Amino acid sequence: MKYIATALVVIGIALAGWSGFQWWQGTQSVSEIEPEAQESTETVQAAGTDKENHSSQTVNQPIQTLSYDHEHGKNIAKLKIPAINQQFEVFWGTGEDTLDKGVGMYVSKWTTVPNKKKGHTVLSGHRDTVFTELGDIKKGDILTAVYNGKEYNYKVDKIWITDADDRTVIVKKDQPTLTLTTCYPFDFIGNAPDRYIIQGHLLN
Amino acid sequence: MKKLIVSLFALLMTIGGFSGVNVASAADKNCSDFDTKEEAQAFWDDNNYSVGNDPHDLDGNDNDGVPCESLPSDGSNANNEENNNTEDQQSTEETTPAADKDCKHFASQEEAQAYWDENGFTAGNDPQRLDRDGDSIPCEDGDESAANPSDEQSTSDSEETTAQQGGELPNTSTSYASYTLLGLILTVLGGSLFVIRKRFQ
Repeated sequence: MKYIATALVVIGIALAGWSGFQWWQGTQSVSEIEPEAQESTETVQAAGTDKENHSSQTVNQPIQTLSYDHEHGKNIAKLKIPAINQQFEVFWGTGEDTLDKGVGMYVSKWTTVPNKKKGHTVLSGHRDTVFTELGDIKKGDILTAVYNGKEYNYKVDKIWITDADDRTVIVKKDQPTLTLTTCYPFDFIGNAPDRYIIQGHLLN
Repeated sequence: MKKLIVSLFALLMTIGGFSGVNVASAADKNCSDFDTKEEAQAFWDDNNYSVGNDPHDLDGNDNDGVPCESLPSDGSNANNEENNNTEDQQSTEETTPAADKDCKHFASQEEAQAYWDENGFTAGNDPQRLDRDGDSIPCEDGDESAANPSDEQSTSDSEETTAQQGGELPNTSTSYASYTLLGLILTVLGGSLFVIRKRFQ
């Protein structure tokens, strides 16, 4: 009897400790926004209003995510959301291992890397590690993606909830679009059945 | 005593339930666990496996990103490694001309596009079926392109019958909360057993 009790306590502490640690680890790619030296990045404007010629760098770069052969899990971008005072490291891919590191960039035939021409960039993150404050984002808030030395500012147009197997969200887009996805409800314990979608367009 | 055994049993069932809900692919799998190539491919896609991420070693010795090729096809839109994926059931794959190319022959979409342009191919003139979705952009799909063998997100485009569907939303929930909670429950349970023991002695 004593053994059962001891075993339960030991297993319980080990389980809680281990998953608690992993949980904590999952939150490590999020930080507060630091005041950043602006020389290191250039703000990119949507095509049509871009006057300076730094477009020569981006014109030759492919925008389709499938054109790149990065290792999944590689840190390739940053996401900054001033409205909730958080910035996130973004990693390539959205498989399980990558999402455990932090926010992932969806790699597929429908998605692109952040760029000023067109396409759909999709970033996803766990609701209980990195995207815990996503519920506080409102329409009109600015989302900033920092990719390849350039900043891309998107303004939130739509926020909605859909179910996990909705396949009309991650589709090709003509206008440069940024979409964030995470699980919903935020407080759910276990496999949440729905998805929370935030979508914005690149600002001029 | 009986009550204790019953509650322990209930607890074990709960643990089992949690494991079932949260640990999707805990058990080891081999190709013999699937009946068809498509089933193996669907499992592979669900878990975002790839050439570099194949813990069950379903992609055998050739590591080409197509798992369990030895399994039979179920006759639906199969991800056949010899031929391009097709949305319809036309069997032009079997009677390919001598100079046939598929997307695997090109290192990138740009190369396929260049080949396409050189030959004056279009969405309506695509004898080698390089432009599966008919949008005049050949070899967009990652699982056809040799340049991106480890593509994980090009899910089930061939298994789905409708061409309009987009990508699957990633699984953004973790089991951390449930397991941590479970751990705490076990600790409390164990702790209370100790207390009960003391009371009854």
